[in-house]
Amino acid sequence: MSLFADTFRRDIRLGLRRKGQILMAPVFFMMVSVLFPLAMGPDPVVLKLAGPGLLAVAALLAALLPLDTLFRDDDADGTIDLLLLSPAPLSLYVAGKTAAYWVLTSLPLLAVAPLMMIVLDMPLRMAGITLCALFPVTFLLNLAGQTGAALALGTRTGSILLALLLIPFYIPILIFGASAIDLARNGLDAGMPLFLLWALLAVALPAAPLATAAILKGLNE
Amino acid sequence: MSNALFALANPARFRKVGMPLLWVSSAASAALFAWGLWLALLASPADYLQQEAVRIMYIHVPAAWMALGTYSSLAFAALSFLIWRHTLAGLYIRAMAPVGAAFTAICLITGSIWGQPTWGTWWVWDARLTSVLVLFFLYAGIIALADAFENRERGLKAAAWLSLIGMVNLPVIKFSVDWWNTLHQPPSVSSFARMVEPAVDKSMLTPLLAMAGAYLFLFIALAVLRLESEIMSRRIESARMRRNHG
Repeated sequence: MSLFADTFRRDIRLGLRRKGQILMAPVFFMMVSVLFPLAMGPDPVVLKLAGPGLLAVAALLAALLPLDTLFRDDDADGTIDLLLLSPAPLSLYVAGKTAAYWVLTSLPLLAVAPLMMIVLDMPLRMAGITLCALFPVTFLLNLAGQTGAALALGTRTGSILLALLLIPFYIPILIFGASAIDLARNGLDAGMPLFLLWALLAVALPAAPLATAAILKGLNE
Repeated sequence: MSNALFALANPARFRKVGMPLLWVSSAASAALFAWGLWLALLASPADYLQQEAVRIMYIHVPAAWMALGTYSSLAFAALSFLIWRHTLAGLYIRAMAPVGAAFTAICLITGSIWGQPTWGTWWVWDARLTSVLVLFFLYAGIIALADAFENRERGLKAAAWLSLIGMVNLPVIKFSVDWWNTLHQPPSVSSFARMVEPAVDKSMLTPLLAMAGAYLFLFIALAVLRLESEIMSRRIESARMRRNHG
């Protein structure tokens, strides 16, 4: 367990030293959310239809953006090789990295989400249910993303390849996330997609770090 | 079963079995295509509702079966590559991912051409269509990943892992039309109850099964041929390395 806490603490500290990078994900999320209404016109009818989907797509793109750097430094300076030689379970290291990555890139995104709801003409009383959907969405995107980042570690084409790899796994998350916000936006019960999202999270939370650790181990032997 | 598979892991032995298999399955595929296409395009009745457009089914449905079947075979190969270090299994993923992608593309394109006269649209975001599109993206990811590394072995391993993880999508595609009530029709052929008393008339089932057989033998022939060329390209590479380095 200390490996999890140590990795988490170290990555948070490293992240806080590079403030520009932490701001990148939420700024990108805000840029995408603002660009769409500008492109489609500020008609409230259009925004009502498109707003929930835009929010989910913007969260997806923001999660994808810094992903190829996740394991890159640790691979370059030999940290992963040392961990592979040690008896410590690699999955805890992976889980610590993902948790830190979520705190650094997704938490600020959730913090600015209510602001973006105003931009997209969504009532603020929906903030609770929107965050209820965006929390598992961002976490699932990161869990799938770390598996993809481990698979593509050491390739030359980085983020384009990652986008291609991850699209099949991102699509269900996107569909359920967007439909939960959309149902709530129309005053309907958003229970089904929300329960599915949280159930997916309950499965992926233990499974993804184990799979990612197995991939890192398998690719480096 | 597994012993026979392990025996085939030796590339030299694979060639001995593979060459006759290639000829037999190519011939069977050509014969079945000739018979099946004749039945499908000329000798079978037009549908009372869809009329001549129903003939697209004989290309579309077997392509869909093969798209899923090829993916299952990739996942099985990935498992034997990662667990038992079966040499040929790794090469199989590299060799057959483009073939699976081609089957999926044929399925999507013919489906879209079929949708235009019958549904009145080229494309709808229905559960079955979307999940087959996702399958196409999966194939594309596997092809890209296998080629993305300087080190060939590492590329094969990464592609094997991705094929294995992608298996979660396969049941979703298979059951999408049962789980969700969508525009795409539920299966007419696949279940055992339907085998005894099919929902498709015999005059249409025979050409469909003939075409499915033709696709299957084409798949086998392509598998042998492409594995063979993977083995050859590896041999050329190592011969070149030996010449350059020592």
